[in-house]
Amino acid sequence: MEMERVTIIGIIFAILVVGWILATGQWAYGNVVGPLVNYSKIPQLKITYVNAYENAKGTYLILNITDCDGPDAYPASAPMMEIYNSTWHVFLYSYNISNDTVKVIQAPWNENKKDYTNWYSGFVVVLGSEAQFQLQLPFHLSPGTYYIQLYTPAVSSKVLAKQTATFTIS
Amino acid sequence: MSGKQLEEFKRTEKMTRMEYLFPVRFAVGWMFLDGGLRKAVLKPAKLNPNSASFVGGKLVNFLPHAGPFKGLLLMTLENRSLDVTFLTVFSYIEIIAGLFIIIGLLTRLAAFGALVMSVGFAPAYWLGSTCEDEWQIGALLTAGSVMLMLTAAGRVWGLDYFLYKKLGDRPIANVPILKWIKLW
Repeated sequence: MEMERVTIIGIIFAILVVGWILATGQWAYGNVVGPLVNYSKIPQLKITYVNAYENAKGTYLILNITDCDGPDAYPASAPMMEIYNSTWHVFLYSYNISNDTVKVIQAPWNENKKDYTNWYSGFVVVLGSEAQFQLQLPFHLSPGTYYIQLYTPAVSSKVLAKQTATFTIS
Repeated sequence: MSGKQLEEFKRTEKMTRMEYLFPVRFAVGWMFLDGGLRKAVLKPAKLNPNSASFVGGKLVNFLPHAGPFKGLLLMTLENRSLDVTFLTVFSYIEIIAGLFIIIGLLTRLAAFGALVMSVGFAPAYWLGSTCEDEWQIGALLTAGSVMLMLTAAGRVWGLDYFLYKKLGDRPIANVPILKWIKLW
């Protein structure tokens, strides 16, 4: 009788542990039935909000950026940004991004690791955090729809294609 | 297999020599003890929200693929005092559970605590830029904690030997569910 109880408890916990390991492995890495994924390998920035308006100094651009994939040991960066439409484009390099950023507002869940800009990396965003970067661009944009592309080094075109956003100047 | 060997096999096939569990007890216990000591004793700045080393910042990293745990994480992160309290309490539970598992004191209860902590960092399981780091750690600690809890591993080469000898089996409390969780 005692042995039967031990067997039943053993089976229950075996099922729970095996289920937990397989389910979390599939959820995190797709390592049971695939496709295999590893979201913490390649960084990916995401523009969650964008707005822009003209003022006396040029164009005031507001960008919310989060890092939604990649390693946790170091932040993701975008040392280059392109603004373009069908007939025109401009590249902003890391020093432009850093110089033109006039304000950075951290998301309420950002802890001691803050998002920032600098001359070497442009936008720097910690995995999971989010910040609003406000840039005073020294040029005017004509009314119309524009696209923003953030460039992160050493990532695929598939990832880069997701680092885009659209805004309209009226 | 001779008749005598067969008889011996049948007698012992479902027996585990508890001495052999000590390496697992030490490994699981040290993972938690080390984790707690690093934060609470060796580098207390890790629990100081004003320090660059504050580990609360690491919880932010779990967010993107935390799935159903995302809301809970956000609530913790957006309430700084809750975050600091949670991490401080968590660190001391790591120290107590880890130490108790190693010395074999209240092993079943300590292993149950270790199990809750192993399962509790599931929001981080997706992190591991070179391999499946966090998930592998979590999976092994989960299985190890269950094994130590079920086998009452501290009754041999542990202080639970004396408790069990003097008091026999003791549950946390004689109420439903808790009566199934034994102290040692």
